[in-house]
Amino acid sequence: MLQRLLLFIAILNLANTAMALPLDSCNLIFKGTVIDGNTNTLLKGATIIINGQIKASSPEFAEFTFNDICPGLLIIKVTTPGYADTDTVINITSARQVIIKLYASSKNLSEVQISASRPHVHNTAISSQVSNTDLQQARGSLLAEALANIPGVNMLRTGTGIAKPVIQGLHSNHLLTLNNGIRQEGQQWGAEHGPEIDPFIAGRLTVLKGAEAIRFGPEAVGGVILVEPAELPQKKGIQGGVNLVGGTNGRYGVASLMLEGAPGKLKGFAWRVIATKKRSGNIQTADYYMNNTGTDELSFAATLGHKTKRLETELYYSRFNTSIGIFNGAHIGNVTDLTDRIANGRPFENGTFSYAIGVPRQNIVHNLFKFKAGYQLNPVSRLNVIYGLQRNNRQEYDLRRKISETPSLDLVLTTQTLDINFETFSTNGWKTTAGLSGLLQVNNSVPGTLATPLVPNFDSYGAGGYLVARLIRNSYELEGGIRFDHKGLSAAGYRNEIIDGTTNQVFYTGNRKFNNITASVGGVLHINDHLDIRTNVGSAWRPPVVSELYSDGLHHGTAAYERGNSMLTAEKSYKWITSVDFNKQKVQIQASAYVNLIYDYIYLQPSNQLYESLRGVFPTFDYKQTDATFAGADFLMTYNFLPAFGYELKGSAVRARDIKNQLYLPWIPADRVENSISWNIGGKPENFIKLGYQFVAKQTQYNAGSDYAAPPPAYHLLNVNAGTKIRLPNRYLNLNCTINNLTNKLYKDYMNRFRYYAHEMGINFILRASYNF
Amino acid sequence: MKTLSRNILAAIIIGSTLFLNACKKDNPVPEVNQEEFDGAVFNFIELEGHDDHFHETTDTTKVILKADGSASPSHMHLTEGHTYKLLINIFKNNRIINQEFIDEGDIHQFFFIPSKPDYIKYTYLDRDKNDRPIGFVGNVEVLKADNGAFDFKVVLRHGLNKAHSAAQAWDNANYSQAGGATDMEAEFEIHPSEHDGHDHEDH
Repeated sequence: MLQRLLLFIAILNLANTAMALPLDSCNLIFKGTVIDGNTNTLLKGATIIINGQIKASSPEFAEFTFNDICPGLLIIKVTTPGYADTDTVINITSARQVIIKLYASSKNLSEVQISASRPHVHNTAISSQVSNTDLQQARGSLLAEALANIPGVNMLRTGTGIAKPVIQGLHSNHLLTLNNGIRQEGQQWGAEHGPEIDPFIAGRLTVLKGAEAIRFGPEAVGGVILVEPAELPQKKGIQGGVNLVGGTNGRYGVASLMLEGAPGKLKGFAWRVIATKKRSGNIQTADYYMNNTGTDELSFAATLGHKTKRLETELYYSRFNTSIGIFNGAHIGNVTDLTDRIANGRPFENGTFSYAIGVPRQNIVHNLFKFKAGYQLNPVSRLNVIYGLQRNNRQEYDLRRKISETPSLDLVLTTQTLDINFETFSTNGWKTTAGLSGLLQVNNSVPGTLATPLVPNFDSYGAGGYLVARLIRNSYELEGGIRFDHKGLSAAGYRNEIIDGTTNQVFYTGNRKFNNITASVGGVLHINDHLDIRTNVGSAWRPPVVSELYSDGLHHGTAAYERGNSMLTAEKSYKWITSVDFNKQKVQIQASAYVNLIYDYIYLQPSNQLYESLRGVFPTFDYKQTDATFAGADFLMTYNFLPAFGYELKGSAVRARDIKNQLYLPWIPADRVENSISWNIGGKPENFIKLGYQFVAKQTQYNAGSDYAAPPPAYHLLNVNAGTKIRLPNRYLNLNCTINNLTNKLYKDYMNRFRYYAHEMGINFILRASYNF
Repeated sequence: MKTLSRNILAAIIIGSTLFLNACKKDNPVPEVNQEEFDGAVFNFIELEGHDDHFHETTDTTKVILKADGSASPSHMHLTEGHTYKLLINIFKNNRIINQEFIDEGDIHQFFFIPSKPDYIKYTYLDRDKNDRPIGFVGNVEVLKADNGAFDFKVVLRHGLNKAHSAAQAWDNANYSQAGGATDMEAEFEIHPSEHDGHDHEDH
């Protein structure tokens, strides 16, 4: 394997040496100025990346000068918070000076500094970023809540403490999350299993909405979420920041400390540590408390980087530890319990405030270790190696007879990933990336739960190889890619079977292998300085997950008996997405439309049989496959109609159908629109007040009788947000205040799995303070 | 030098063991499902009245609840004016596990819900640590027998608030308002017959 890999790299390198240039002639002077393309004003603080290597941040000046540039092709990427990245390609043969224009990506530019990030997202991809303002305000909340600021991204909630992102109608194993470049591997098959990531570590949150399977591999059917920390500092000395958040609903508090630095004595080294603690108690709807909805979270991350002229290495470790109380009014024993509660529409008891987290609850510890190395082979070619080791321990506690303090589910998922890729630029504007990726995964149930686990122990392995070619021109870019994947699964477990009136544990095994080829083509047309059109057609796939293959038992959380099918085949998806980006002085528009055709889409079908037991009667569901379409559009517009006033409109709509059986698909977000008006007091962006109005329609794309309860009615919400900056000696203190659900409305959302039992959160007054030193 | 190479060798062995362990699943272990049980028996023990107290007779009618949720026999007879001790036993691996529930008696309670009112009256005879009823032992008094049969639902609730108003009556059909979840649910028919004269052939 290693020999083949080395051979592969050697061949790629040979193909490249013809145009590579010797490093010793690298003494050309290259100067530039960064300006805001809309206002033609100088833009300070941008990060300049040349041929994939960070050359400089210009915190004080908008100009940069390099005197160590090699003759040949330069791919210049400039990034800065709040602005869309630009890629510029020039062929340099002698000293040269350029002007680089950046355009605001969306919304108000936050004054809080988040360092710019790495050139990760390729430009033909249809992507949206969480704006800095929204990212700042999302701190202390769940990752999915931060992502839901992006049009087309919604949430699938389980109560208040668990939220999964939904991108253009798809969630769970249909999405891929890259946490700091490593594919996040938790027990993502469960609708009640949220991603184990602290939004505080993110310097940037990006969602790729196209079928991005080529670069990232299986499961990127609906899109990809990129959680990227800020770049390590280059400035000598120690700096840092403290963030404090407090909220009235759940009486929660969050404290986060970040320290980073670059020791002057050890040249090339830089480091960062960040720790966050969060504690919250029972959440209150407009009318009542929901008992046992507190959370307790502690996360930590450390990064150590080293840079030489050619070699860049990074070690990263993070630990995310959370304990989430599950609303105990949702704990049901059988369908009678469920229908009784649905008929009541709210908990039978009003609840009280408490920080205590009892049962049911989830305790999750996610450890991630990453090693990354990038080696600049020559001015135009780079080799990257990223290794990741993750260990996810999920413990779920239930109300049990005498042993509530023994988890009823205790799974340890260990995942190792290795990605090797090689990037090269050619003088005629081509960028080629070739890569290999591998995955080894082991899932074990920790014995002693005194409950037969829902999923078996398994070994899973995957290997893939891909090639992406991109042509960069001044007025357009084109990209095409192809990928091959192989995935294998070997499972062994026990399932319950009633034999002669007693329950027995029956051993079973399963082995599956999957092969798949995916391809994509896309392009971006820069029509003028203000208008870009992007389009992308891509295929993607995902193999069935163990719960879909081997489930056979009562799922108490959903009052359903679920039966897997070990013969399920892989889902195959074809997604076409087109987007328009318009940026002119006062108006910015981002709009996208898509069609996603998924063959062999896996879903739970009611079997019309009843499972009868000592606990009562349960409906049964079978995992089946069908063909499905997801089509829809997302829209974001900002309009600064007066110098100090801005208006924002955001909306999304999805239509999802099972086209074989002519049925609607369940758990698809309803249509929604958000409007907001902001006022920059005194013309300063840091002093603002913003009033937001959100409308979520009733989900009418619903098959009558297909769910225990029909979708809840439409709702309207009002939110207020205000911020200011206070000058302290040498530093600034940023203060921000938000009131969510201003009118304290009692409402339900279709995308909450606990809507059968309870309402959504009532009014919440949140205060945030941020101080950087 | 020797120590160094030994250390390196040890590190390699430890490292590769860790690595290999992380690459292979464990053999699964069958779990004894704590929450499950195999069945339950409802013993209706006829009592003879002696002034202010009762004596148990040997005249016991049993209804067995099987793992598939079915009750056998599907109906049973009680006599008007008589009082029966209803003793419920829950079984797992041929062993009575009532004590597991009684130990957590403060969050367990049986409810007995006849489909028609006024035929029977139930009295709890057991108590939890807060002096609230549980229902493993109780008396069933047959009040009347006119023309009929009714369905008798027995529900064991877990995790309820026993102080809640919905948990006070033995026959409250809205027991779920007291919170908690159903651990066991059984239903069978009771045919109350007149004094000592019932004729089974009628059914």
